[in-house]
Amino acid sequence: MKTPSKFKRRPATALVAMANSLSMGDDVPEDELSQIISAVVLNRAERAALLAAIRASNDPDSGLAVADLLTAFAIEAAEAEAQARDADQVIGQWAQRLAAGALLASFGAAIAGTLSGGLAFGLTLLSFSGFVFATASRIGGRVKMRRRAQERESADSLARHVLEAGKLKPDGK
Amino acid sequence: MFEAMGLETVIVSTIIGACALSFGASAYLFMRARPAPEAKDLDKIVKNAPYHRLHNVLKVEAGS
Repeated sequence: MKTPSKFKRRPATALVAMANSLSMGDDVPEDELSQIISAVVLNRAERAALLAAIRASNDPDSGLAVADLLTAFAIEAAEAEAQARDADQVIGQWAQRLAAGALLASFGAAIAGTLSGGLAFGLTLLSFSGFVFATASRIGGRVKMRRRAQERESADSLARHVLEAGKLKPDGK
Repeated sequence: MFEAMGLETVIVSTIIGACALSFGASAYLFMRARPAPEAKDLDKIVKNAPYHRLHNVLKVEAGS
């Protein structure tokens, strides 16, 4: 595979630049680094460009530095994923159960005749909307959880490939 | 202490309390799931990355 002689300024090359800059002791803002990494790991073109840039790099350590940044990002994503899962299972599930219990209780009270008329109707409506709201919020949380999981897996695999690419010499041998 | 309360009051307050808790928990989950605001524009970060550190390592085009 031939690599271009000059690389464009794009997230993949920016990541290599940041990794080099970090290994030389410069300061790179953490939020910018995370934003660049998440832009690289989920984009196929950027992943390919990153591997090509690592292969073309004259510094054998830059692959290692980039792979380490990617692994650190994967660990952060795994932590965020675990937190989102905890919130979903501890809070989301119980919010849903409470609302469902309230819905059943209001049905029961209406059927038994303890509550009647507008009050029974209002409570049923309230608990039903609570159940719908809880379900929607759980779905939103799970979407975020899946995205973090995808980021973690992508960053992990890209880190492995970057290490492999760093072993190859620029002429492909 | 609770004898004076009617059955209706007990049931209504239980259901409303459960609903309030459920609403509060759901609102908290919604706030958590909200995507964090992007710190900066990605193009700007790409443009301002420390390319001068790649001087001898990798050839990068000068312009964007």
